[in-house]
Amino acid sequence: MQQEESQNLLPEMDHGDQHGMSAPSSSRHFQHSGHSVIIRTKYSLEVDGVEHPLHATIGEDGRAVTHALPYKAYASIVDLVRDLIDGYASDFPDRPKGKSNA
Amino acid sequence: MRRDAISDPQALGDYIDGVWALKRLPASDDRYSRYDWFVLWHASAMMASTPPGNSANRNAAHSGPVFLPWHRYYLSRIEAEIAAVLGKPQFRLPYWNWLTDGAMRQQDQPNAPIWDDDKMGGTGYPVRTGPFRFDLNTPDASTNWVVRIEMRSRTSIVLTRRGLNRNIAGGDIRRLPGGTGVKSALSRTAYDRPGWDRNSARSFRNELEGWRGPPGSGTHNRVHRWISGDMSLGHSPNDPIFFLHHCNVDRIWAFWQSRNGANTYAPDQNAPDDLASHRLGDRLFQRNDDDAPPVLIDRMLSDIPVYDSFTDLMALEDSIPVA
Repeated sequence: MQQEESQNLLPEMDHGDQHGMSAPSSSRHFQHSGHSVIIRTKYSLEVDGVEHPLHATIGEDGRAVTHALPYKAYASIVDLVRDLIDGYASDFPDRPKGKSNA
Repeated sequence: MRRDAISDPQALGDYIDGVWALKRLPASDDRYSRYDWFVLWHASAMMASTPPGNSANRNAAHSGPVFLPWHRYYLSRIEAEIAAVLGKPQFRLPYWNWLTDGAMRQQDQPNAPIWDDDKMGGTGYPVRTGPFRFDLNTPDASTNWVVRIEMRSRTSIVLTRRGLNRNIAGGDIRRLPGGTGVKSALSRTAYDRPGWDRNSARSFRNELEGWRGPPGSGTHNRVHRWISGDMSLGHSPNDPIFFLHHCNVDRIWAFWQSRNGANTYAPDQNAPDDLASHRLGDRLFQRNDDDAPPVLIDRMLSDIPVYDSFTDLMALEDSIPVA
């Protein structure tokens, strides 16, 4: 049984803009062969045709993290999303019957 | 003195009574309880990135130097409130020594004494045994442990009404940490090191938190993921095992301090502003609705709880090769 009430408790807090509905971006900086390189990464997630804000960032080591799954760093963003769907099943309701995977 | 939860049933019994008393005590926002307020505080800290947008997920309580002082403060606050609500000023949190259970055979670990029905209860979605069970068929609904605070994948915090979830040894982690990770952490003489996040190498804090260390160690993080369910998410204090787990983490820090100096902490206040919330003189994260006075990180270095035993940690220390 699970009943979610509508109250979102987040607005009480000062969390900064990174917790708005838009996904954060990550910047990785490094030097290579005399060049200064910046790689910016921003994820876009769609599940069953519905866009979900994905608050995941990728670190200097190439591993992805999200504070929705705070005790693990992922070598694969695919594995992170799999765990996100499993860990927050109520955020990803069953797909309507008859809808194909195409 | 904080004692082992298994060797001191009275301390564990008082703890269970205490968290239940806080669960029945309304918070200033009476939609949830005082216990739930502690859950909300932890989830809020988890979502306070320091600085905003950093890619390593460093926040006001995790993945950075403040991890240990913030949790020491957090434990001290709930310890004081349990003591008050029980009318037992001498009450101290017990610790769950998961190093002991981690030395058991893998298949025996989920049946260790801490999970007995008269202690923390068992596993399930929801948990149906022990003091924190949830059973819709129970004749007395007041005995149901109801989870009220929940993080969502969209990084919001909402009210809910459901039982506690555990999937002990059933997630991606099948065994508790052995001594290898803690032994490696204890061998580090630096409390923390640049870049002050989950990538920091040869850092006591980072290895104890579980981001670095020997293969398969994981320490603190591994325990959360081994219990899984609510313990693997940002609202992990919904499971009362959280405080017993972190009490053991704090015990390991206290032992490390006894070897390396109580005031061994980094970074100091000369560190740049992007390390705000993690520098020695910075304030520990509190919620806006917390009427307690601000506390600085450096106070947690001297307010070291007293533990009944470091014997197991001394044995690990003795097995560290001399450089």
